[in-house]
Amino acid sequence: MINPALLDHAVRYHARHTPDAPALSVLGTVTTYETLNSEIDRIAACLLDRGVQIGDRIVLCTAKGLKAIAALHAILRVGGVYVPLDPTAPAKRIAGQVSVVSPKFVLADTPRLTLFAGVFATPQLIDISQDFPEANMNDKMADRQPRRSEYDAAYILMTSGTTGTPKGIVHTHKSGLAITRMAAARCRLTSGDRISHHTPLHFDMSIFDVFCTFLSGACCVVIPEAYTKLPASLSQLSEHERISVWYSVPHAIIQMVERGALADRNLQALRIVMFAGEVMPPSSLRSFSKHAPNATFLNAYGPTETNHCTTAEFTHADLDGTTPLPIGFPEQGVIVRIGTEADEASTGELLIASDQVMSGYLNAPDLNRAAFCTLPDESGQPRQFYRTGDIVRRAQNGQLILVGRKDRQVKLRGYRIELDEVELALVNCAQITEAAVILFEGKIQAFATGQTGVDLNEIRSNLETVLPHYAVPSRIDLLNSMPRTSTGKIDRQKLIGIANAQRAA
Amino acid sequence: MRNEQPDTHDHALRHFVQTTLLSGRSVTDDEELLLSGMIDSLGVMSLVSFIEQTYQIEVPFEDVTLENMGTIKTIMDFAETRLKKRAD
Repeated sequence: MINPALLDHAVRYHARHTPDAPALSVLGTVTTYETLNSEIDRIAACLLDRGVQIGDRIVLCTAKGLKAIAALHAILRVGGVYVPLDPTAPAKRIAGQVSVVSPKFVLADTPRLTLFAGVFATPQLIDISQDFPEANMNDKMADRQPRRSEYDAAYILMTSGTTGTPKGIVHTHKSGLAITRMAAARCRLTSGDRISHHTPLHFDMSIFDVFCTFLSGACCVVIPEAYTKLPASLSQLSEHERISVWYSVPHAIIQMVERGALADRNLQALRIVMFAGEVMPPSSLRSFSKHAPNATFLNAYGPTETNHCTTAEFTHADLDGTTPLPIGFPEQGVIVRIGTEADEASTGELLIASDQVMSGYLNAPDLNRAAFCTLPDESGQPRQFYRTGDIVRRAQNGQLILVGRKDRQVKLRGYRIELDEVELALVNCAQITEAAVILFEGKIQAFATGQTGVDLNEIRSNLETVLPHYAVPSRIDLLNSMPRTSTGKIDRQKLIGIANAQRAA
Repeated sequence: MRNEQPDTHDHALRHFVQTTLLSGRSVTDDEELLLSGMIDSLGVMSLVSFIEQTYQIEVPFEDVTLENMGTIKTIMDFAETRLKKRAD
């Protein structure tokens, strides 16, 4: 594996050494490393002409594809910081994120550019759908490269946190490369791999799709947005593109199991199926595994602040379809501890020290003070730990098990209840596929999807055998499907909306 | 026997896509629906059940693809083919 000093260096390296190797495939149209590199240079030249300086924050708002990937590399190449925003977000949400980031420029595809037209002057807006003129970068770039460092910010990912106020999570080239090197080694990526790019760029899992792929000189198989909504087309694309490494939220895999026509697909090329971002229902994974005979299955865990930092690995024999999946062991270069006490607690908040950890939240000193703490590591050396806010415990075999979110613990009539534990109990019922639990007007309300003809009385009796009586939901509703956020996670705000509508009805 | 004109179905389909799925945005029959980002996976499922009810056809999972569901035109063609198949 090559050892680049900055995140954007890998593409240029492969463009020199294997110029004709495929870097990108979009529905079968292949772009070589040499062509990708030239496109990056053309966009970078345009950015230099517009006066982009090292450290400038630059919004990237576009559908996935060659231009999107070239544009984010171009931003990095001129020393900028890319800030990917959700191309499907409503204008108001984008405006809120823009006010936190205060970007100098916006790169967007034509349909998205209008979202920014009122707020930015024309010279600050760059339409990446255009054909960029040929550029000779050597002179223009020559004086800029020595002034760049691995400690420079590389990308900022926006999250909305519990309060709804946007937060910018700042990663440097150093933290981004630490993640990239770890994950590429973990998956033993080679230049022969064809790696899915399912995740939108504003979600941290896309760091794998883009940077791990290019670090390895492999081919990034772009999955256009429309395919992520059509499971039968998605599975077809995976077959046609001979994807060898799959990485997505569990939802994409669940959809393929339920409506992906997998019986008609040949997915023998898959050697790794990795998922993250949410809890994977064990039954769905087992069903999917039957169609991926040559794959190993990886449950990756990590908040956006650290990215993927623990992994559980499964073979077909490990998947019994009922045991909840652990989040596994810390990866190379990741130190974990449970709780802040000198003696590690058996159950408590997961703390992480690693080069992968973000440099901090953008312009938010209070948040940063709360997010980090300094504690001794295993050898007694003081280290800075990031507080994940996730509650974990250690299984007997040493694997970590995710119990729930610290902020998902509620108090009801004096009882402490982990909403995530209630969800887990629901998902463990054979007839239930997915479940989400909310606290609504002082009561626990559950939403679930599952097989047709689910017997709610039976589910309730099941729950009463595993949960304390005060944690059994007072209401369980079956949905045809769960509402989703743009990143594919269950949208709990929308569930509260459904509960409100039910009350009004 | 009640026999609705296929034109009525197509009109209802256009209306459903524009009012329910796209919150009032007008689209042509050839415009790509799913690339706009305005229809999520829940929207696709409600579109499928709308097609099933309106045209009185069954839409199996393996037919919910970009070729069949990409535009209003492809949906109309798909429904017509299914209806013909049933008539044979």
